[in-house]
Amino acid sequence: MGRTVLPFSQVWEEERERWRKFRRALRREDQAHLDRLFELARLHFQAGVYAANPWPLESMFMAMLLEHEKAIQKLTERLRRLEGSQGAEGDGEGKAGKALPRSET
Amino acid sequence: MTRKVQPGKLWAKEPGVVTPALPSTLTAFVSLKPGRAALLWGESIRSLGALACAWAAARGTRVLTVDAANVFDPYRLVREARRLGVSPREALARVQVARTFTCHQLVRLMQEMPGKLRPGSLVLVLGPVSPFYDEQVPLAERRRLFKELTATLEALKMTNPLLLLQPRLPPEAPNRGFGRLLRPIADVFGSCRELASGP
Amino acid sequence: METTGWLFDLYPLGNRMVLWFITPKGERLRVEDDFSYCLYLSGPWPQLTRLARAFQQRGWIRRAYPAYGRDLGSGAEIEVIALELEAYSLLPPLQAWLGKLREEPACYNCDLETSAYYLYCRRLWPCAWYDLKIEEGRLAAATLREEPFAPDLTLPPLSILHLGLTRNPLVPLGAGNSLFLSWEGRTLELEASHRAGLVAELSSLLRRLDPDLVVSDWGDEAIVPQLWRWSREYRVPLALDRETARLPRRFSGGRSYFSYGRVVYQGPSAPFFGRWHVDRRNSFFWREAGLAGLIQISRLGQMPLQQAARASPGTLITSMQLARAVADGFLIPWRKGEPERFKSAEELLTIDKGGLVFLPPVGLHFNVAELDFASMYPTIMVVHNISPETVNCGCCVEEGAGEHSPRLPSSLPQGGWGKGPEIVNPGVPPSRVPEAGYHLCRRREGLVPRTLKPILNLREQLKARAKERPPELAASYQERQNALKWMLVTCFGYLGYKNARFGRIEAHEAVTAYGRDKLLTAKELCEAAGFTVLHALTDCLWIKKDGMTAAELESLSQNISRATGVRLSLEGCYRWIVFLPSRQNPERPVATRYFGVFEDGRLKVRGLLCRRRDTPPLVRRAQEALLARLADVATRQELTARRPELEELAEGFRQRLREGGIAPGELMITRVLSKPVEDYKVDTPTALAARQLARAGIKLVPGEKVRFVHRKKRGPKELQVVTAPFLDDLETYDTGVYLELLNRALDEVLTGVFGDADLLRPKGSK
Repeated sequence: MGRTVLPFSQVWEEERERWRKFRRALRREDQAHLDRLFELARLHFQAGVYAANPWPLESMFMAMLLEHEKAIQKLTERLRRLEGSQGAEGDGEGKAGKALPRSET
Repeated sequence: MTRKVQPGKLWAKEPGVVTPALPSTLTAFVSLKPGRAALLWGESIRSLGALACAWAAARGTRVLTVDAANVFDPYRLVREARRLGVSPREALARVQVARTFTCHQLVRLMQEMPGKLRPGSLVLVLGPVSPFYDEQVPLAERRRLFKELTATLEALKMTNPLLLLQPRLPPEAPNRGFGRLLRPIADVFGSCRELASGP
Repeated sequence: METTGWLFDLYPLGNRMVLWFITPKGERLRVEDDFSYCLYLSGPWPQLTRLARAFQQRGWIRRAYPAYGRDLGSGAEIEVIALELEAYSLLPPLQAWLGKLREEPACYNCDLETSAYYLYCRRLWPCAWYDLKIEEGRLAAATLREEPFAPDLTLPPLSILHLGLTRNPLVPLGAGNSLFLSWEGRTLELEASHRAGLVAELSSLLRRLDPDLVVSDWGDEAIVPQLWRWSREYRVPLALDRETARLPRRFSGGRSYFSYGRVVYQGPSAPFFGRWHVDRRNSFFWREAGLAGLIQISRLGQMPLQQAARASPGTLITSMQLARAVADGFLIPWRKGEPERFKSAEELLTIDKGGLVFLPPVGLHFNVAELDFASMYPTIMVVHNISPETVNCGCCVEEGAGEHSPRLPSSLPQGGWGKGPEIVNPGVPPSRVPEAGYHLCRRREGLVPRTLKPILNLREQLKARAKERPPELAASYQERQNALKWMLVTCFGYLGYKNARFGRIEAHEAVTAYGRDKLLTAKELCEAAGFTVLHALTDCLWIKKDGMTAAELESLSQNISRATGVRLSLEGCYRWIVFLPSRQNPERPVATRYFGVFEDGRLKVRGLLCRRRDTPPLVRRAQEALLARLADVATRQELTARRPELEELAEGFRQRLREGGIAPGELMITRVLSKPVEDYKVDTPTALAARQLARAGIKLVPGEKVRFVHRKKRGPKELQVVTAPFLDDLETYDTGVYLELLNRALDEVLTGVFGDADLLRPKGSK
């Protein structure tokens, strides 16, 4: 309806198409990871749309990174809880030295 | 005097093998200067339009694009420009776009162009024929308007190089032969097949 | 004579208008009014006078004289020549003549529908009460007795006759189909075996019963054109109208034409004169808003009711704009329309976005609040004064304004929602559109905001009354408010690029830019108040917070309304809501597939099979039954407890399908033809159905609907489907196809709520 600039979902498709050869030469199990990465980029389409970056791949990478950051945060939290509960029972020593890099929050 | 572009410059040389976009189509572009108009039609006008703009930007030329078929793709422009060593910002700044949605708007826009043109700018019209297939406007009126369009384009090409790119019309549009009427103003014309888009 | 009357019908006759009024006593008064269709041309004076003389010589115009009119774009007065047509029928040849001119002068007011133009010029509103002065059958004066935008309407009693066919409309009248009539509780079937007799009988019935309104099914498409043909063939008069003068009627069948990239089908239309004929099957507004809605939009759109009935919402909102323009003395350009100004490719990238669409977390969520902006885009147009002539206006150019202004906070006029934009003194810098940087006029209130304001206000009043009043009265308010909703919704599209008359794409862009900005502001305020934003979509948000209260939500809504200038209100709190993933990929969220139940028991469903028009009734009812059984569930435990019952319900539907004996009507799939029958290369069910009809002599054109049932797979492919008129012969249906469709519908609900599909289906039910 009077829209000229491609919808972001189409831009995403075109970007993914460009990585077809890269994907082909990956092992199958790695291909699955790559596919999931691209799916992650979809979760923040609205930000890509709003930013209107002339190089949309950058917005897609940022979205993937964002999801990774969220996953890392979650895992760090879980690990801390698990290690914390173990520490209370076992050694009595904190394992602070071995903690994963902590994010700001 | 019209000269048809040699087949092989724009067509794939063998079935299944598509020649890289750049060298072949540049032949049509390189010949563009004031007094000359090129008319190309085919499937991949979206890419070709972006390529033309990128090529012009790479040479430091301003482009005024009139999009009458809703096929202008700024993302593609940036992509093609980068391959030619032009930064996204520069490419996007050198290309000006105006869209038209009716044949009346297209004719009016073209008629008002001279005031906006700088010497050396490329005038690119995407889908010059497309709006004329809208049957809500009586055919006689569309024909009259088309004549006005061709006259305006003839005058325009005298001062600035003119590139006309026409995508295929949808099969449901009843053919009225407007494309044929456009050919006389073109010094270079031909059809283009699917262009390969690289990584 | 002096009397009161309700403006009922009007139409042009030769070179004058005929109007029908209904008096409080119930009389149907016919009056005439002289009205000259006046168009205007501007350009070099010698050319104009030459043209005027040429037209006068042809006998096309009665008078020509210099006049002034206001140009919409600049607001300035320009000199024009006024041409009064000799007769209304001369407009098309004059238009064609002007369209062919080499040096076309600027033409104005030359493509308006005559009756509507009359209403605009005289400032008359259909379906409203007037004090009338009538002298010798001519209307001397008509003064409005009520406010056109009054929330309460008083109608005179109208007698209604229903007219339909006894069988499917594709079966020709007289070759298997007969007429069916009903009025005041009585019904009558008229056989069509004797054609002339049928015409005569219907005529005499209409004369005797003298209905004000004939509501038909397929009247426009099938009944009236056929009867008219027979009336001419057998020379038996068909008295459809109260009007006794002979008025031209021509039925040339439906028309298919190519426009804006697709084929559009326009069916025939058969209005009556002096009486209303509304074909339910050919009336968007009847379907959406009933008679009350129709009367509302005919009145506000200043369009005779029968035209309004057959019009799209876009045509009506355009009519309102035209009326406003004419009333304010603006010249209405003919097709010229302003093209877009050049913008850099970078600006295009930044500006051409549309509304913001988030992607929700797939799955089931409890206690979610939905907040909606009320009529966001139209309100934005009003609050920020966005109209084709106010965007980047010439009169308010700021000195030293850069081309690429950074995103400035959108400055709102004082008063916010509810009050109109205040025209502040020109010393204040013009407000700038976020992202686009366009400036908006501060000196003139735009045509579009002026047109929309009263509609928005009236809609709010009607909505309020629909809530307060008891159900029997509320229905009419609800219908009318719904009609207005449609007009408001289409206003945005017609602001932009189509119909070039008043459109300017920059106005379109300005609206979406403000829309995105306000949605993000709302999101920010929700988050600042501790809410999580689950989902957001152009003008609504879904949020949640543990322990949120109604009062909290109310104050949040008010904050957002104040900050954005557009009223935001709580649509409701969902007991639970399911966001469904993509049909193709269950891992992938999509924006518009969800269903849920509000605290008050209301269901909201988007993007499910039961909402699609081509879903067969049985499948739709199965899905709706499941949803209904979920409507009172509020917690996870209750859901789990309800599960066996739902699975049983689902299995019940599957069983019914397997057992057979379901009426063909329940299994009907409706599709629209997208291209001519011959152009279908693949043998899709739609193609097969259309070909079947073609073989029976029924030629459908693109845009028409075809209805069919999948028959049990046996024999040649051609017989895989059976189309609507021939369903009486249907013995069995293709259980497999329907089971698959049914399972998809059931899965949509069950997997949405419970999870994995395979866990749900009992063994052997495939």
